[in-house]
Amino acid sequence: MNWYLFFGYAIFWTLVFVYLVYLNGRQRELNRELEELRESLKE
Amino acid sequence: MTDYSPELRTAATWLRWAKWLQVPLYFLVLIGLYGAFVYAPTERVMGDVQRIFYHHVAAAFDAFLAFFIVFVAGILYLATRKVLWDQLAAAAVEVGIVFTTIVLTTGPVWAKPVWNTWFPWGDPRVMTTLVLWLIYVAYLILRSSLPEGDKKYKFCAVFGIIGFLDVPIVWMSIRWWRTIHPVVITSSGANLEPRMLQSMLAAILAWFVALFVLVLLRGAMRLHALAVEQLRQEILDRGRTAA
Amino acid sequence: MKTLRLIWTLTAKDLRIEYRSRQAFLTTVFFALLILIIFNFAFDPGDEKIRAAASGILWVSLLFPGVIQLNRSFQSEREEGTLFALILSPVDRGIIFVGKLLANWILLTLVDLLILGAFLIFYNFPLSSRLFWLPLLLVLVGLVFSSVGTLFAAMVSGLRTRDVLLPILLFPILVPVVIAAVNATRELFGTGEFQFFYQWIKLLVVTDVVFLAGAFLLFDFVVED
Repeated sequence: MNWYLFFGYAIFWTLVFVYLVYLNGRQRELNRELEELRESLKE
Repeated sequence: MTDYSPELRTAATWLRWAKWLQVPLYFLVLIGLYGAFVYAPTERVMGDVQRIFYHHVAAAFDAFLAFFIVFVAGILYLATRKVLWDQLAAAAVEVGIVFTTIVLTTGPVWAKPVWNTWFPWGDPRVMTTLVLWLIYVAYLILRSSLPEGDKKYKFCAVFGIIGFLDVPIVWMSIRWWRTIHPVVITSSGANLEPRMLQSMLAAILAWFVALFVLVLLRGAMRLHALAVEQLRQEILDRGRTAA
Repeated sequence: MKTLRLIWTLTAKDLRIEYRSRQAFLTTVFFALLILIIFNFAFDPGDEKIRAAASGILWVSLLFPGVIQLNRSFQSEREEGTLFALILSPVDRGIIFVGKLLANWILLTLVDLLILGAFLIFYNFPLSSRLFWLPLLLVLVGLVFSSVGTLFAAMVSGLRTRDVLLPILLFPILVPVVIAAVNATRELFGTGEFQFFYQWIKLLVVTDVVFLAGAFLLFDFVVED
């Protein structure tokens, strides 16, 4: 087991994953805002 | 009511493209990983650590491409004043920074066992990536400090263009700098064994598609966010006129 | 001819304003002196290592304070609303840009020459005929600094965060200029052959041309409305 190799790819995928989680968060926030607007229109 | 449907239509198109590109993407990434871990032979001098190389180089190459998209989208924005170009540029900057961050963090892990230094100051590829990272982080800081609107998009386009013009100059300056301070780094890209070269190209292709999927997704998300913001403004205005 | 006269009118206006208040000039010079002196305290007294780092120290003390000068050149325009008047006047935006650029360039070169004198005294450099090349370097670096700088300063001038934002935008772009300037200067301070000096000068000239043209073309978009 080459630890340097392991850490290299671990960092690589962690960064990709972190960005995807960030995108997911942004999308959720956007959906919530849209929902809020929809609610405010109903009133 | 303002018509923002053209932007939403663009967003829908981008999402559709991203969806279709996702199908080959997973296969390509798997092939890229297979190439790096199984197909490519172990490098004789560096050993297994060298297997970082394939995806490290792919990320670097595709990051560079992302910044080229920023440059072109910036010119197109200044020429057409269509919001979609700005949002595409902003998305490409974000993804490009993710890729350069990957390059700058996986690089040291590879450089330490091979060159016995975490960070080879003086290597033109490493230094150019570092300067690119600095330039585009500055781009994001500029973006975040301007209020939404045409002015912001124009300024960002201008900065994106100037930043990209800088790239060849950075490259040249660091290459000459290096010839003065000799560094014990040999070129690693030349004379690749065919299976190594194929693995590298597979990784580049995989992350190339990934770049487009991410940029399209992020761009569509940005267009949606703008539309939501516009909608909120309209509802507020309508509430005010009613009251 | 008319264009040249217009440019000079704008440049002279800026220089006159600066001559009367001398605010940006004095602040910039003082800041640069501070950097030179602080660097001296960062080394042990009489340490010879400072010689090796001297060309780097010189350029840090020339470039960082330059940002004050750039920001100042648009600040008064904004405060007095004269930028708006300039844009409304029937003058090509390119002329406004060149006028501003020239004023910044001249002022920067003046500051740089003063600081260079102080530097040679502080760091006790032996005078040699090579040092006559230094003003050329100052002028070349000053041109790229003030062309990109004027463009960016116009961009951030309306923002509250302009004082932090300008260096953040400017210095990543100027990395190759710093490399070229420091290495060319090191050869001037040394006694060896001029190995790479002309190469660095070439790089600076190319950079000047690229950024001067780029900033000139893009300035239009930065001052609209």
